[in-house]
Amino acid sequence: MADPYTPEELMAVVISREVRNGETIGIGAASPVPAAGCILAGNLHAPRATIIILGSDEYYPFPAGSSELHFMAQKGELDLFFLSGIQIDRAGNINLHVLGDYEDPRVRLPGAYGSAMLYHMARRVILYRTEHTKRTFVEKVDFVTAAGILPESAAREGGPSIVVTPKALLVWDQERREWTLAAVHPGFAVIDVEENTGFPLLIPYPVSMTPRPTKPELRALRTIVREKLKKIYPAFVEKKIMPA
Amino acid sequence: MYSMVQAGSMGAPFVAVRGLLGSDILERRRDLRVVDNPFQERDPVVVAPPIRPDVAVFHAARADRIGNALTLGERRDDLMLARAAHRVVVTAEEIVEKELKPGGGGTFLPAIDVDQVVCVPGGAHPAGCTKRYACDRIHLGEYLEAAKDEITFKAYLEKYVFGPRDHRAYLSRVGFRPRKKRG
Repeated sequence: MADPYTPEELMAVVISREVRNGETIGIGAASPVPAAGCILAGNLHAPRATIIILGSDEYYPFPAGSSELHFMAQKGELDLFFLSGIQIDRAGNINLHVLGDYEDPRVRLPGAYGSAMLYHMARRVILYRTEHTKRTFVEKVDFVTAAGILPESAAREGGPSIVVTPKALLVWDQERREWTLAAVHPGFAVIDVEENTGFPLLIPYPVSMTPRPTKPELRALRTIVREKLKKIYPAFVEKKIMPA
Repeated sequence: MYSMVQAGSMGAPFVAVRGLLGSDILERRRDLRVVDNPFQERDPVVVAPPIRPDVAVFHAARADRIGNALTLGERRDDLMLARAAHRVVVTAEEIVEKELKPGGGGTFLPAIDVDQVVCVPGGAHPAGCTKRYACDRIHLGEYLEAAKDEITFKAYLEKYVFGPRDHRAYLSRVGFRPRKKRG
């Protein structure tokens, strides 16, 4: 019988497999899932990755402040950054501003916090969302905080590379400008993903299945990573990362 | 935003920033404009005016009588913001007689960047002040609950913001007990 795991643990493992050795990686505020994934990768296949986590003492190489990370990204020196959105849409746009009409919103959110720059300037952006439903994956976001497709005139391509959810891994097809269902996580079927996504996906045949988290992955996540992450996100660790 | 504050701190007339193209932020913010990079072909960039706040307020652990202040935690962005502001006010847990020098942890705001110093023990409440008092989670919980609704939020403001005559009255209302000064 395979080991059980939480959806957050699975997402952290999926994210860790995407991290490449030697990359310089930035992780913004309030991002425990990618932080877990990157620390895990650093302990497994990517020991030479430089991991920069806002809000951490151990994983923050600058003496102070968050503008250093911001300006480092603007120089084009980040290989990988993580973003999320209350909504993510068919064109790769993300929304961190409002739900509903901008002038009279149902919900007002914190705003861009640099994401409209980071989405263009990091070499690769991985999106993640802990809820995979039709209200999070929409045809068109209520507000474009950061654009998935840049105007033709822009000097860089920008936009997303993949999005990780509790159900699946979607890959952004830069040529066709659409999301492809790259892999379905264990326990879910293609139809589960399609029915919970508010726009059509490119579906290859056959669709791959995400390999289950391995014993070494779960062991590292629940020991070394858990301890390190506890210092940054104690409440998250308590609820979402199981003890070894 | 960082860039705009930084431009303010440098006295630069405007700043060019990367990204933002295609974002609805450009529709909503008339102060952000797209121009052609004058130094490079085919490179539209967003430009923004500097931010220079009328007043910036910082809470410090200690300040001296000429205006040197030591704020809590290493936050160089504070220094950038102080230099961007027209006027800088420092509230401090304590005023010390000996002139403060940089170093020893915390962010040093030099007197040349500070206009006024006010002694306000407990001035960070309901947030915490490293090594002196912790963040008041019970009060923050009360605030979060009150902020959910217009009427309860008004009541909160009346009770804690407009009601108390001064800061001492506020501290007594929230039940804050200042710790004794260290040696």
